[in-house]
Amino acid sequence: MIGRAASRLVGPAVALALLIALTGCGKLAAGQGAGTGAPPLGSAGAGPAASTAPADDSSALDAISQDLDSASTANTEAGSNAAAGDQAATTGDEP
Amino acid sequence: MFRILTVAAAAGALTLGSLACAAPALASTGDGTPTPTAHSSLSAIQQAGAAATSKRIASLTTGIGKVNATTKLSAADKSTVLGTLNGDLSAMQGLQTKIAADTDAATAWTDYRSIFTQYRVYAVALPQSYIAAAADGLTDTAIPKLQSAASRISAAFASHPDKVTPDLQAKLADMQAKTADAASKTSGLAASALAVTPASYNANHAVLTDDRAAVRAALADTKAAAQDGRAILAALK
Repeated sequence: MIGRAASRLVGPAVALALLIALTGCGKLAAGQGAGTGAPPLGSAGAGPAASTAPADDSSALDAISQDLDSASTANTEAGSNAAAGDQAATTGDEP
Repeated sequence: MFRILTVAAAAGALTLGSLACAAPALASTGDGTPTPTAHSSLSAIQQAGAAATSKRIASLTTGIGKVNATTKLSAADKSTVLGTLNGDLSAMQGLQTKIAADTDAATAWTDYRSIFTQYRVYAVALPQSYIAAAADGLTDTAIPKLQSAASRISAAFASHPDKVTPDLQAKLADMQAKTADAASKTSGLAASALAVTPASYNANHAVLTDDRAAVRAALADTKAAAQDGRAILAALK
């Protein structure tokens, strides 16, 4: 039963795969991931704003993430220094 | 071998026992060395002096290594801190040699006292260095990065008003307020900590308390601001 159902799906799946390959949709996805792919065939008509907006959003979020990472690293180091200062003051034997 | 260890242990026990008999009322320092008084014997003062200077030499050496390695101290503050720590290190090494060579208890006592009153390695030099490093790290890196992140988040909100909720707006406002508060608390903080001297500590043992509290409070602010930023970022993705 399962085998017959699966065989009925093979034809449409192959057709869909061919459609994706021929229209360049597969290249669009690959190009976004690697950053070196050829421009998608349909992008010229879509206009620059529409085609670059997701990439801009992604780089903006990446920049926010990098800022926060740097801040967190600095916070951690500042915390270590503050703790070391407290420890020096409390472990000393200053009369 | 066992005999050598046994003899050495017995000799050590005798030495400690002799010191205990010589000065039974002495308090003990953190490392177990008896704390001498002005009436202690030359050898007791020398022993305490050797322990106190050794302990400080080790701590200063570690501190100097950390200061040299850190990228968070400003160049000017690093120069100031290294000047103090290296100066104290030389002084401790000099005092260690001098106390060991002293031939009378009065001179040794004066030298021993100067370990504390003139240098304040644990009460001033090391804490002020660490406070300055923490303050500079917040001032020069954490706060500017949080300000940058908040600015970028504002731009993202403007680009995608559909994603902005009252909760996200409140988080951004809190992030900006906490960052501004941290900037206020750390303004001039490193300079204030580095201005403390052994003499000012001798006059007021709480002279670094406010600076220590300020760096802790500023750190709490920057951590909270970073958490706000993370929450906003997660919602925008």
